[in-house]
Amino acid sequence: MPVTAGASAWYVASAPVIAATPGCGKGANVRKVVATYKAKKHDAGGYRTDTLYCGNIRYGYRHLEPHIGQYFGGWASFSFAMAQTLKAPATIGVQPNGNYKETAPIYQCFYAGYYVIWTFIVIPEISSGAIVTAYGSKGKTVHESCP
Amino acid sequence: MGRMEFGPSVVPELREILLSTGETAFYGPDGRLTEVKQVPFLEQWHLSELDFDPDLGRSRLVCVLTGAGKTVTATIDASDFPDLRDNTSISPEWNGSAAYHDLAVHLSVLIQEQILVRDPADIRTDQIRIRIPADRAKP
Repeated sequence: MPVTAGASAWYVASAPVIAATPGCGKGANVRKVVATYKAKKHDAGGYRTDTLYCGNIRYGYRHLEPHIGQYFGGWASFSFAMAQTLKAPATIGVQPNGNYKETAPIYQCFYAGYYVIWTFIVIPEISSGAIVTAYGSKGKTVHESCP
Repeated sequence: MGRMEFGPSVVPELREILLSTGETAFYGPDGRLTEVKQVPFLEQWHLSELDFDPDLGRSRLVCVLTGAGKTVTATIDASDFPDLRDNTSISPEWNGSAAYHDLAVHLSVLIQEQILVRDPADIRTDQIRIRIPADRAKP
């Protein structure tokens, strides 16, 4: 008898389970944890844990919030892109201001037969793994079906 | 009441960050390391000028960046950064640098977000005011 695995049997989520809204409204503590992400280590094998705090206007969710609307798909998609970028980056740069700059391409596919290549960027603090900011930069549109 | 002014250390600190290079590791789709090289903080941009405004003095910082034939003048007003403008504080929860104060680090992040990561051809204006957008939530 053939066995067909359900989607949940083979699909392992790469992004953390997240709330529809991060709960960083007025009054939420700056150190409230919004999400944690598995992040590839720069100078060694394995992974570290990076943390997105509610933060303030200088770092964390409150700092990056305006960038969510500049990307596609709302907070869930934004958090998923952060998770993918940190877990499997294309580049990790060490910056003198105490932050990493991690990038990865994200393909936004359309049924109509084209896709848009975004570069997603996450900036975590090197020493603590606290995420300072993140944003997507829209790149070229390719008029072919998604690879 | 006088105009708010920046502390003098912000210019040399921010210049040092902007003109620095950092080790960048490149990975293939399989996660394997393919290359390590020094990459300038400014990437495809060049710093033409960074100093206080000749007319407004220490109340405004002017940063001129060029890239692919495009020149962008970023202005940064001390009044937009009232709590950091002295460039004497260090906030360990978001400033992990050993050498730079909060304002210089924060401005380097904002310049990166608002100019450096963008393709020069995609920037439609030659003047950008570097500041925290008004819609950013407060705790």
